[in-house]
Amino acid sequence: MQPGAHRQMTQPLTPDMTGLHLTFGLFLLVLLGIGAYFYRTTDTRRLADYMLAGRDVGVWPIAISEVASVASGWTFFAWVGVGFTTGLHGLWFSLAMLLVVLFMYRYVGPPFRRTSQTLNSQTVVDHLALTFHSTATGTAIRWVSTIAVVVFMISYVGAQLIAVGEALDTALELPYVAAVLTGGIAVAVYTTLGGFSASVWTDVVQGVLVLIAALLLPVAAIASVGGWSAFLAEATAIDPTLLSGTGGMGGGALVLALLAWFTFAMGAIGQPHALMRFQAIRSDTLISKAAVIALSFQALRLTVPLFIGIAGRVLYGEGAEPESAAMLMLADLFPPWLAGVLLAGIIGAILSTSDSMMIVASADLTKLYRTQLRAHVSEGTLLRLGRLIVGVVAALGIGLALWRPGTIFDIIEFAFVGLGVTVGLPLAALMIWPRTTGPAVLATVAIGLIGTIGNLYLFPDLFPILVWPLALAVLIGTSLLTRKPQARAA
Amino acid sequence: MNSLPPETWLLLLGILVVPLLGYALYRLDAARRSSPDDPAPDA
Repeated sequence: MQPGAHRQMTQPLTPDMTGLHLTFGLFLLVLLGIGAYFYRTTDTRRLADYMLAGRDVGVWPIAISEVASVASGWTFFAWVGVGFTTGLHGLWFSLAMLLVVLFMYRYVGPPFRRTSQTLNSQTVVDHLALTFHSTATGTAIRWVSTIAVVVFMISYVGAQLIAVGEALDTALELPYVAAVLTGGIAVAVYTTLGGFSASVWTDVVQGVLVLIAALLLPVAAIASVGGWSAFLAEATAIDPTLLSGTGGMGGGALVLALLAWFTFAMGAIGQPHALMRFQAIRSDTLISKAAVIALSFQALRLTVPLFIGIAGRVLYGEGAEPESAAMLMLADLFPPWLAGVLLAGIIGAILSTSDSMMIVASADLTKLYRTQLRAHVSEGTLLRLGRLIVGVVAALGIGLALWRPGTIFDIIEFAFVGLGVTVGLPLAALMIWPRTTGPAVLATVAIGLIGTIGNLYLFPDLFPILVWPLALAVLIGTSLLTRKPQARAA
Repeated sequence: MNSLPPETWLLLLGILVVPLLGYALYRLDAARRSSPDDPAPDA
């Protein structure tokens, strides 16, 4: 079969496609219904309940919701696009990221859960600031890290909404602009209604659907190519490096490529929406168990999309949009009702990620307002302010998605690395290296923000290789040069 | 070609091993917590 010979399988919408539209519409209603349910039945009047679901979430919801939350636009779009264009070389990233996730669950999660409860911190930014709360450094940390988190989170939300637009445009043939607006507004509404409780429980439903989609899509795609052997033969015929772990590279080029994957994967240490789950879990003794579930799902979702991408290259040829390959297959290979359900799960996971990110940005800005600008403010006012911020972040995310300054992969990589360096690195240092000082945390956050942007725009070919050693040098150097922390609250 | 290249299999094996490592560590933690001689700090 010639590459791309399957392209004609994507037919114009038929009356059957109405079923797909209906499933998706019903799903949005269910999502909003869950938000409304938690709004009415749980005590979301207190900010801590709104943000962390009362620090009483069990193992399975935490682990599965993390998968749904971090999966989303990355899994079925950006990572499929990488499989489509470069093949299995991306497995290096998968392996590196799994090791980073294991490290986080093992060495950062438990002490973070304990100290978070002691400090009563609600987000990672809050945690960094409260650790040095009685000093001017703590105040500066809150300002700089809030700015950094908001910048990266808006980028992240924008990338997710691009994925929503791509999905609905490709699978349902809805206009891109309308799809982005629908997704953005839907997630803003249900986030503002339900808070984290809603997002944890909707994430569980979506996590399961994402899992089903991740299992069915590659099986259907490889079967439609003619089976495993035919898939391997056709992929090799298109590009012999697609199935290679080295991507056909050697020497210095391979070393640079591996460094890029490893430094990208390091971003997993600082995803505030994922870190919030450590804070929300019932007990730090549960984190070890949650790690097993999360690692299993992560292994699956970091591997399978690459195969989906390669299958997409075989089915649709080089001319297709790489990041839309999974959505093309969804529409082509499944009956409309099943495609509708799976699309609902995927869109749901994307919206969940956006919702978790908006909650984090909202929490950080709200806390900044209360601690720095207006100390005496009621919980009710804060909650209303939090909801207003969610709306504003959603609007900015929609704006970015309409602007589309890069691919979904590009934008996620920027935000992922940026968050890892600015907040993940200082947090991990605080958890595992007692010598870490307040000025070192502040300097790392500032260098992380400037360095990520500088690395991307001044040395794009070396992104994100340069920013990590720079930030690490600043963290260690400043810690050694400044006095041992006196005002550490925990 | 009817198989993946060896280095790709190795990578896939590595990806499979990490969750298993996580499981082994979880069992180790559980055993340590249930042992009266070596209770966890928050047990």
